[in-house]
Amino acid sequence: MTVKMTVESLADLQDERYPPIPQLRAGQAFPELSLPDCADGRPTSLADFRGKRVLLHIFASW
Amino acid sequence: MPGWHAATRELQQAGRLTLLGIVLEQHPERARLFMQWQQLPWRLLHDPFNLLALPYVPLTLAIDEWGVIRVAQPQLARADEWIERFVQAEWTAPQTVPNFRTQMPDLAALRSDVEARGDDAAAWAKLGVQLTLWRGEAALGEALAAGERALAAPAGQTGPTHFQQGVVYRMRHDSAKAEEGDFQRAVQHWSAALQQEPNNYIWRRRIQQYGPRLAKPYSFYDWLPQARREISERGEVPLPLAVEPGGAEFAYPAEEFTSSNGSAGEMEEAAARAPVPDSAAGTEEAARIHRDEGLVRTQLIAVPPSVLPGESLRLHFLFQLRGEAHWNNEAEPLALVLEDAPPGWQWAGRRLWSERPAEPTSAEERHLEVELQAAAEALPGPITLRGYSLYYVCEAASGVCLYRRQDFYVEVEVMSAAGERLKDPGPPRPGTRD
Repeated sequence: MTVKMTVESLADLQDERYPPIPQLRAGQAFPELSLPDCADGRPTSLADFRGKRVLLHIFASW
Repeated sequence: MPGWHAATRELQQAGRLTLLGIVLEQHPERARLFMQWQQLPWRLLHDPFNLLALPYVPLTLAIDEWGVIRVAQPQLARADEWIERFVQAEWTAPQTVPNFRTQMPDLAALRSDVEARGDDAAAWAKLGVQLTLWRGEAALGEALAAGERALAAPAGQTGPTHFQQGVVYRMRHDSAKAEEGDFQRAVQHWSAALQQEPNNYIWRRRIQQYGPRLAKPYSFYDWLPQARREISERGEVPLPLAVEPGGAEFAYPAEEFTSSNGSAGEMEEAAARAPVPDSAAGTEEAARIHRDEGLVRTQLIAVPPSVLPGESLRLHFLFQLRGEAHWNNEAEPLALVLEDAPPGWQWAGRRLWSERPAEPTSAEERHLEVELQAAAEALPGPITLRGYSLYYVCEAASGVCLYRRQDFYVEVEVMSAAGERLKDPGPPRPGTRD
């Protein structure tokens, strides 16, 4: 079963310890950006995942 | 990351959710090793420049099939409440679906376009980024030149470009095309960037990675030995690192400066760990040792490049062999001897020894680090610190092995106020006594 959802319906799930980032708010398209894949250097962007639901984690190992 | 992986494992296995990582570190293979350790089989992209201009990491975003962010920075603790809802939801397509396609940029066309624009700082900076990302080592010199054009253009914000230049200089330092001074210039550009945005957490971390313990938030890579051990215990081979972390990257933070400044007890302890060469330690005999005339190149890097009174900095010493020269490992290891600091200044240690490989000869770059604290009453201006290194080096594979000394001095700039840090004192350099 699919449920019609809106951004607002999930808005309360934002972790309030982190301030919102204006350019990456819910409802906005993720920026068009090609980056090298660490495994092989191949250009990759979110466009390669069109049609999929993605959980994107931006981090550093330190 | 492991928490997100565990919380979404079944959805990933069912093909209903894809996990993707972007790492902002200078050396992305360290993040790949971390993911191997944590058994996270996600694809991982590299953004060393922080092109998304993030104020902090980590950052998690749930993105729908159209590329639209649906949940920003969700709470892992409430993952059970929302992940299934996010995946099941019927998200409405945006009015305009982006038609962006991933492709290798046409760098020749980009270069022509940028040149036609003249003094467009943003365009030159973009060219530097794209050359670095897609042509790598072969284009780092050109990328640096593009960055310099961006900085020279009459424009507003130069902080991101300074950070970018720091990234590229450090990349070249780590490459086969390294030039003397690259690492110091990286630190100077990162420092200049941070001066413009002191609260930029991402930029600050890059300097802290190589800086003194008093300025560290935590050890950056203390997880690495455990990761390698546990990966090996699983029967896997740990992914190789292009650049092994150095002492500063493992060091833990300190709340106060600890000096060994040559006290008798500490000197004896240090000598027991690695015997001082017979002629070392500031004796007259040491002064008579022949000076090296070009077998070993010494680079000094100060992080940060300047200090306020009472602050500390970390000096990195790089010893690189020239030509066919190689280390003689059957004799004592390379020793670094630091002379008396000016009144009120303190060395964390004044005798250091490099590791000595097991094989009889080797040709690796040697790296030593030591911290220095400026006097609380230090006056603004340059201060000169001196020392020398002692080592056994052979001229060629079958050449003569020699015991040699190399003197150096380093000028550290003391600033009177934070704003003056922008001054570029130039890279510290080894030199003969004047």
